[in-house]
Amino acid sequence: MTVNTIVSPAELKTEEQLVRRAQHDCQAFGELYEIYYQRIFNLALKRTANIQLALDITSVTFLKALSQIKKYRWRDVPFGAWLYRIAGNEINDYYRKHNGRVTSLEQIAELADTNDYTDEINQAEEELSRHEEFLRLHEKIAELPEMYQEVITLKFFEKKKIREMVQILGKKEGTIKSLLHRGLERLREKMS
Amino acid sequence: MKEELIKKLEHVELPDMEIKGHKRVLKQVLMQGTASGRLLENDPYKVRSRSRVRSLWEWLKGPLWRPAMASALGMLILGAILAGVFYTVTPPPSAIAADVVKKDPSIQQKLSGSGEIIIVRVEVQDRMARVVCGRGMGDFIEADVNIHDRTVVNARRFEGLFMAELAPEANENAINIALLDSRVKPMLARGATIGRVFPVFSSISSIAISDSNLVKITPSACHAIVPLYVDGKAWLVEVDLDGKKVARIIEPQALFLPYFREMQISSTSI
Repeated sequence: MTVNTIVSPAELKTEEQLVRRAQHDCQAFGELYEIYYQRIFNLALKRTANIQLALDITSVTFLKALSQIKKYRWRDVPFGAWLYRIAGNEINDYYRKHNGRVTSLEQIAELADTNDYTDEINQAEEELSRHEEFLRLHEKIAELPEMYQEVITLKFFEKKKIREMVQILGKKEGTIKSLLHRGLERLREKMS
Repeated sequence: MKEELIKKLEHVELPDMEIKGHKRVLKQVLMQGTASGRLLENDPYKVRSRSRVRSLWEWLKGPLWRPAMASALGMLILGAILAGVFYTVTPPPSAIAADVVKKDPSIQQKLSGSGEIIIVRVEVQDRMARVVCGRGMGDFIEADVNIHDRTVVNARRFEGLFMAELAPEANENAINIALLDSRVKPMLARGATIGRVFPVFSSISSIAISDSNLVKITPSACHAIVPLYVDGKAWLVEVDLDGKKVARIIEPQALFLPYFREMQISSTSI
């Protein structure tokens, strides 16, 4: 599943209204959560190839989104692009540090009992291990600098168009094309 | 070579999954945190208890944040202490209202069942707050709280838990799944009618209160009950929406028949 960040003006208007409600109504935020949860989790999963890490990144992304939504300014760009950017930053931060959890999730952990879904995690890990080709590609992509990882993942694993990547990454179209070109070159070298 | 790589990237089978348990729990945490004012106030440093201060410390000293936070650590600790002191004295109105409702004996008494009272929604206006709470699967109470006096002024039981409706799409799915079941087909042949479909939900996180003061279930409800009326009896077809199958068919005791008849707002001929 991918997030389609290019939507019709009517859909964009509807989402704008929902986001504005979510700025003072937690139920509306819950609706946004329902729309974007799986997309964010799968983005994180494709970037990290690690179920637990993807869950942590998803948690932090929504926690940060909820805590910052009052300050969020609507710019006629789908809300998903903002969530993608938060998640992307968390993943990049993780790769920079690479020696710890994304952030302390104590606030969540003390309310949530992961035993509730340990079986689900085990099953998901088993399913992930069956995607051997993806895991091989991911292993090589993960060796690239994060700026290349981002564009390659968005382009090929999230099936994003360049325009959507502009919205998510906040970079110019030319920059993204150039990153993509160089990233693929670097990946090709690693693959060979 | 590059073309081959692009082709490989474009056609690789990608993992696409969902951890439903995590999704449910995270939503519950986010919603509860918001309702009680713990997350809504947009500041992890606005903490009161010792454990909250400790979690802040753990958060700050984590490897991810260390470089960025090192220079500001002193200021943050000071800020956290000040915020903690400030909110110990004056917690947010939504948190006060939620606390008052949770501790109020009349609310405890009015809500059936046992277990922790869960705050579903808090709306604050001036000195008053309207709090909706429940015990998960049971009934709900809407309470007006005087924040200044810290008292429950008025409390109304929420009607309509079982009037809860699935989203139209989920509603249609539930009926379609039920109608395809081999045990249901003979009932159809005997002229069965369908009652109001209602959801079976597993957690408070999937409940929203609509403006019309009805409990509304989001499409994430995993099961739904499709009542069928035939030969003077009511049968409850429990549909597993995720598994797209009929989980079981229950014949309710005769005692409940009038109740389900009442729910049959507009029976549909099959």
